Amino acid sequence: MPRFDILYAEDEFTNRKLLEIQLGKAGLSCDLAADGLQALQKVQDNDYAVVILDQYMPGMNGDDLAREIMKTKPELPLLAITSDDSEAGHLRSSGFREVFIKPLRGTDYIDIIKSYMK
Amino acid sequence: MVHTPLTIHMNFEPQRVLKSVHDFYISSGIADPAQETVLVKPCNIPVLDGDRQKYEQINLFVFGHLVPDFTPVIVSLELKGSYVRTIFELPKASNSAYHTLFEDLSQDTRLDKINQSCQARLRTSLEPPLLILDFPARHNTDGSLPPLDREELRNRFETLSAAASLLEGYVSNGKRHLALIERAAENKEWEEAFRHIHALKGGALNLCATQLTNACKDLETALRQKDIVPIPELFQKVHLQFERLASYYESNKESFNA
Repeated sequence: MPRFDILYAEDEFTNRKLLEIQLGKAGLSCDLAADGLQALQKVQDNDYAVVILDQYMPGMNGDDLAREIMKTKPELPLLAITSDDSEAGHLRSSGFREVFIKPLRGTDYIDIIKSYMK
Repeated sequence: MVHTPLTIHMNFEPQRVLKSVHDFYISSGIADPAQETVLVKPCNIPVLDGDRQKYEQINLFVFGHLVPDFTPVIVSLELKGSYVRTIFELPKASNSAYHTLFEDLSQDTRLDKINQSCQARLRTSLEPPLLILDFPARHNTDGSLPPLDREELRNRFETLSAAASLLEGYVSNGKRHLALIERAAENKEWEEAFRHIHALKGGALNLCATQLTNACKDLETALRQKDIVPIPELFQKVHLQFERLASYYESNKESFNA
């Protein structure tokens, strides 16, 4: 089974593929999940260096998912992506180490993601 | 009155940026704290990055009637992800650029009164605004704005053909989202409808579809607040902008993949 550097959970196809492409260009392999429950299962079954979560997803929202993940993998870096900047404070208090606001531009966010890689 | 360029360096979150800029104008005596701040839709403007000029999508804020003689003050802010690292200058502009700005703003019905007031005053002999922004319009030949900013798209994806595959997927999935929003709204499942419009908005944001993004934002806000009355009309606006985008892409598909 291939090992991926990163898991990205996002229910919208365009956003999923965009980040996968951008991470691929930076030499990072990215596994994808289309909803919160799928993402939770993948985290339990795999060893990712970083997990990136959208906030609003079917099955389980990003903040709830973060709290579930931290119960068993508290050291796993969790990063959030949202288009709603008013959510940033709440997401940080849910356990996310970084909160990126869409649209993602430039490469700064890639550098930040890489900084969390082991 | 001396017009000087204003350079602001900011390094904090968008909500605090807006407040800080607003406070700046209040403390400098330019702004009247009783006046309402109006948020405008994103625009594409030239900004300075060191010595280099480039085009960036920004949220353009118009602060109502802030100057005592009712000349509006226009401020541009560039927001980069959750890290607001913005360096911009506000040079003086020609009156033609100023007129162009308000042609853009007139598409937002909330600003009709401000726009009419500005246009009326520009036709009289007035001093130029204290701080104004110089940027070119990006209009179609008929004066309308295209549903996609191709230049910004090219900058983001390096080539239009790279964007084309995502556009294809977005248009296909977007139809599904719209159908699910409509069904959820009929069943009064507001959170479900919110989730789908949020997803639609995110894709539009990433694909530089400004007008669709704005229409999605308005519907998203109404759904979040469960402000039910305007929802049908707002949904129609989203539908309209989505159809514009889909038609535009279909009509120009070959040029995207060239």
